[in-house]
Amino acid sequence: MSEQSIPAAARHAQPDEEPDPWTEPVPTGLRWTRRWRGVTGLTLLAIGFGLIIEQPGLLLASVFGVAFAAYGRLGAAPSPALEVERAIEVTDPDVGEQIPVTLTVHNDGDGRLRDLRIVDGVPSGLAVASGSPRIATSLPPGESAAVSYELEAARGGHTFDPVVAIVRDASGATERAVEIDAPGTIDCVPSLPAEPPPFPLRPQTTRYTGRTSAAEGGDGVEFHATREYRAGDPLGRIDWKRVARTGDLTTVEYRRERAASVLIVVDARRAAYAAPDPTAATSVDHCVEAARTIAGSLLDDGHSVGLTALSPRPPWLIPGRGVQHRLAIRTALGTHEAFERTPPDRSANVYAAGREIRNRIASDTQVVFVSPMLEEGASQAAHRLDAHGHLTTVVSPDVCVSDTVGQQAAGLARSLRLAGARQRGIPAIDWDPAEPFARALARSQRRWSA
Amino acid sequence: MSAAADRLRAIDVGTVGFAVAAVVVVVGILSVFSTAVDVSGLVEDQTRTILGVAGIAVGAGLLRRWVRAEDRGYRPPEREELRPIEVPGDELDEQLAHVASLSSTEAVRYFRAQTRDDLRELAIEVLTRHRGCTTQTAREQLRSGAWTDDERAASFFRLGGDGGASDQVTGAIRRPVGGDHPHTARARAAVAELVRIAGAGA
Amino acid sequence: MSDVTFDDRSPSPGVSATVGVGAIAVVAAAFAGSAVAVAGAGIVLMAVGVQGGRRSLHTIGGVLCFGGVVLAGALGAAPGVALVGAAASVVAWDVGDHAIGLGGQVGRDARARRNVLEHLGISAGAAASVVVISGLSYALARRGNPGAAAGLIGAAVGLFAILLDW
Repeated sequence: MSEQSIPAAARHAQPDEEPDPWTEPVPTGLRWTRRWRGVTGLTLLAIGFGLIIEQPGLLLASVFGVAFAAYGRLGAAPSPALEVERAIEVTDPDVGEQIPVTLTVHNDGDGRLRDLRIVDGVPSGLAVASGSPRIATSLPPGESAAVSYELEAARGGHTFDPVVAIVRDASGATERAVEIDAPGTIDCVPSLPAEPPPFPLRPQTTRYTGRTSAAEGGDGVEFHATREYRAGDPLGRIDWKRVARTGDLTTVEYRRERAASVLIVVDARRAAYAAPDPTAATSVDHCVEAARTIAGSLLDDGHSVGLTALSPRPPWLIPGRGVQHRLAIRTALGTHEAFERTPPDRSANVYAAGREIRNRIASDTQVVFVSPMLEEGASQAAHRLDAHGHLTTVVSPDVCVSDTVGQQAAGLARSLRLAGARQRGIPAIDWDPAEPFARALARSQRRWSA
Repeated sequence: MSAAADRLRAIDVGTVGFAVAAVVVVVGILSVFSTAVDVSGLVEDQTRTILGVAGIAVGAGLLRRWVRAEDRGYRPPEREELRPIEVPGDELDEQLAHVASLSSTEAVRYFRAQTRDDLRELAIEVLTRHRGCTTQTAREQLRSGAWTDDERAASFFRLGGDGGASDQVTGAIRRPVGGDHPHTARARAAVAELVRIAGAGA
Repeated sequence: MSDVTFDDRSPSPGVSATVGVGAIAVVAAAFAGSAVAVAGAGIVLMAVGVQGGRRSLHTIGGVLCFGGVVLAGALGAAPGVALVGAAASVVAWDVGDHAIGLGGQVGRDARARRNVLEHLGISAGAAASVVVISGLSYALARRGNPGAAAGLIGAAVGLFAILLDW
């Protein structure tokens, strides 16, 4: 890497801190809009012409410009006294469901608000499906106005931001903006899948026995076999290739003496947030979907599953089992702040995070690292965990596209990273998020059919 | 001058000075039209014309500024869509765009070097992994251009491979028609070639 | 993923309000062909500017519309007509500019009818009072120089405005 100092012109082109319109504070206090400013110029023009060509009619017409310029000085936007109330029809929707929202604004003050504009604080993780969360109105004291629109539900715990109210005086020359708190939450928490396909673990297990146990097999060695189908076997475990070939119904069975202890680590660092299109689902959304399927699959098979993330404030669930634990994992994957659409404002130190993880888990815990693998930090995290004795499997959603030079280069770099991991003995599952992770996993079952 | 305050502007020295000037001008205008105020000793035709022309000049200037002025109203953030997230590769694309569009030669040189360094690291990894050569060999091949038959791709990494001034001219010609700046075109060829090599070897 | 993007052009009664009021100015300028042409071009530019949310285009249109009326006045139209025409052009500009500002803050898809009509009413009221006062001063000052009263009002109020703006 070049050691030259950055020339000033280059620095201007790439400012360190670009003002983020989402987090910029609302300017409060009285401000001039300067609408009528130009009218004064027009007036001078008219007066000038009037003097030169000695046309009194012109001066008469110029009165207008002048009168309105003065008109713009006479008022001051009032400070509004507003009461807002939000009605959300559905508070725990499914992903993709339409949520009708109605915001009612009531003028609690004595004065008439002649020019009032309202913008509702739609949560940053939700998009508007129909209607508009904004309105421009005029409210006499005691009256209300309503704003109705629909949101499309997406995974996560979403809170509404404050409503922004902008008031102007009658002439529009001054303006005042205020924020009004109107709390509201929408929680969309998908459940763990019902019949998840099996997830390929590495040969690292604990001393404890799993729910499915068999007599043979080495210490902690993963063993596949098929047996005759029994009523009640999960559909995700049927060997469909054999059914297609011979018509026999057989069930794939993990024969494992021991249960594994698995920690799922989701890469939710600032550098890992990316999407194939700026308003599409993010890599973190896909990682969470994969984590949900993996957790469901491993818990069904009797393993202990834990959850954490690479993030400034990560969730921490030590590997465990049981109904309560399953619910805790589901909730964390649904609404924890580490998995929000807004990337963290600080970058995470991969080495420190890795150390923290190693300190908290037992030495016989293996790791499933779910990451888009878009930069070296992700490779480092996986390699270090693996090298320290926690056998790691990488699951990577592919959010790269290939339209521009940069995008093609990014995609190429990512496949090199996956190849590098495989070369070090770390299995890397490359997944195209166009299909659900469960389906991709089920398809890869084909290598188990004889 | 129009500072935000919770009341109308206060009277200050500047305003008083303006008031005095205003009174003078009012008297002047009055004298033009009204026989009651006769200051014919002071005011002539010329003064009237000068006043008129001055008014027009200032008015025209203000008008120009007015037509170009933007609304000073607060613009709330757009919440209809999801918060935009970066697409992988945006950073390199932005640097290539800077090479194509910035005017400072220093900055252009800086970004050109940056893009070349970043892609060189990628190229070395592709060559070592898929062609089995050492890092040193890979570096030499890139420097000499021996790593590929594609001339445009080779010229991206080759020493002295950019046109400098002729690049700028070509870029200026191509841009209005929607074409690529030469540096971007070479980078595109190089990456496409690397993808091909990596694909074949996989 | 989402079908709705923020459209920052003017919301709905903006264009019709501007054109409706501007038509009065064009009629007032009908005294002379050249004046009507200028005012007509102005109203077209204002309509296009408001429709597309382009403030500079709209302002030029407003200036042209006002200029057309002033031209009609200079060419000899009745002062009362010029007065009303000038008032209409200023109000048309004001409503159009207001609508463009609304577009930036609430967008094309938001409900804004009540707001725009209320603003129109207030501006029209202010303009009407200016017409009345100027008309009265003109009529009363007829004995002396006709321009004096208007010029006085114009100059004094104008300079007062400049005083406060700068």
